[in-house]
Amino acid sequence: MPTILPYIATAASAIGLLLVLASTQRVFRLIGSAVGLAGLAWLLWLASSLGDGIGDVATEVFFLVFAALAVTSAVRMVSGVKPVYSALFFVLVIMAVCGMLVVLEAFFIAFSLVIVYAGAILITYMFVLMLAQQASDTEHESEIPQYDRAPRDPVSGVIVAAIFMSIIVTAVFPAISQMTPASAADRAQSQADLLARLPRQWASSVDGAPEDVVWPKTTQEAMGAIKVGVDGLVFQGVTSSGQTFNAPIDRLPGNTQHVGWSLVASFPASLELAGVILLMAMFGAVVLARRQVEHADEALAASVGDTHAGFEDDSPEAGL
Amino acid sequence: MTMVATAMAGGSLAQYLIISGVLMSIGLAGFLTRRNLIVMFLCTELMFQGVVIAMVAFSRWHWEVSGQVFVIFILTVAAAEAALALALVVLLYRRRDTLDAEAWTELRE
Repeated sequence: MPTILPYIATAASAIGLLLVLASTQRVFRLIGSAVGLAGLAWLLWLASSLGDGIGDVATEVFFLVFAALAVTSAVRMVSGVKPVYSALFFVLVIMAVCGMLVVLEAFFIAFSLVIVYAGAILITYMFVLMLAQQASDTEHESEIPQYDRAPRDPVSGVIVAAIFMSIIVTAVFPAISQMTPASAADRAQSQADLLARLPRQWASSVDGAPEDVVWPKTTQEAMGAIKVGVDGLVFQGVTSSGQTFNAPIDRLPGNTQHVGWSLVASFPASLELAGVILLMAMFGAVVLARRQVEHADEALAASVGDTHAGFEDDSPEAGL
Repeated sequence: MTMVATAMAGGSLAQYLIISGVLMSIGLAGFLTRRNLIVMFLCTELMFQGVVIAMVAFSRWHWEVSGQVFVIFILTVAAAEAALALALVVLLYRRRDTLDAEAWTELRE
C-alpha cells in the first residue's frame, strides 16, 4: 500500500471540514460534508486493511454507524452557529462514543460517561449558555451575535488540525502491524488473576459446583483451575473428598469489577489525588462565584444607589 | 483468524485510533476557529472524547483495564475543568457583556 494514500484521505477530510466550517451557503456545506465523509470512509478503509482484529459483521456495522454518528455530530457541533445546538450535538457525540465503548465491552465507562458527561457536565454548560445568552429570541440569523456566525480564520485552524491528524496517521499506520492483541489465554489469565483476589466471587461465578468444593486460594492455583474451553472458560475444581469436576464459568467478574479492582488496587494514590482535584475545583468555583456577586452588587449599588436592588437582581446567579 | 476476532470486536485498533484522532482534530479545529468562549470549552471536551476512545481501544486490545481506569481520571479532570472554566466564563461575561474571545485579547485590569 502506498504510504501517501492516508495523507491524501486526511487532506480530503480536511477540505471537507474547511468547506463546512467556513462556508455560509448550504450547497457548499453539503459538498463539504460529502467530501469530508468520503475522506473519512477512505481513511477507515485504509486502516481496516492493515493489522487484524476485524470482528464479526454485526459489531463492525455497529462500529461504523457509531463512528459516522460521532464524527458528523462533532462537525455539526463545531460548525453550528447556535451554542445551545452545539451543546446538544455534543450530547449526541457522547452517545455515539458510548456506543463504541459498549462495542469495546467497556460497559462501566460507557454508562458513567452518559451519566457524568451527558447528565452532569453538559447540564452545567447548558446553564451557563442560558445565563449568558444575549438574545433570547434567536430564531432569526441576524439576531445571533457576530462572533458566533463568523469563525476566526478557519483556513489556518483546519490546516493545524490536518497537520495534527497527519501526525496521528504517521504514528498509527506503520506501528499497528507490529502490535499483537491479547490472546484468549491472556484474557483467561486476567480473569483468573482477578477471581483469585475476590474469593467471595467464586461461589457466584461458577455454575453447578458441588457443595464441598475447595476453592483456589492463590492466584497461581486459580490460574491453574481456569481452562479455556471450546465455548468459553471452564473451571476445573476439586471437592474436599478428592473428586474433580468441570463447571462452566458463567458470571465471571465483569467489566465493572475489573475497573473497580484496578482503581483501588493499582491506583490508590491517583484516586486520592482525583478527590483533591475535585475538592479544589469546587473551592475555586465557589471563590470565583462569590467574587462575582460582590462585584455585581457594587456596580449595581453604584448605578442605582440602592443596595437592596442588587441582591434581588443577582439571586439566581448567586445560586450558581 | 477466529482467535483475532475475539481479541477485538468491531473494527481494528487502527480504525478506533483513526476515529479518535479525527474527533481530536475536529475539536482542535473548533477550538482554534470558534470565537464563543463556551463553545471553545465544549471543543476541548470533544478532544477529551477522542482521548477516551483511544484509551479504551488500547485497553481492549491489550485486555488491560488500566486504560479504562484512566478514563475515570479524565472524567474527573474534565468535571473540574468544566466547573472552573464556566465560573470564569460567567465572570468574564458579566464584565464585558459578551462571550467573544476577541474581547479579551488584552488581559489586564
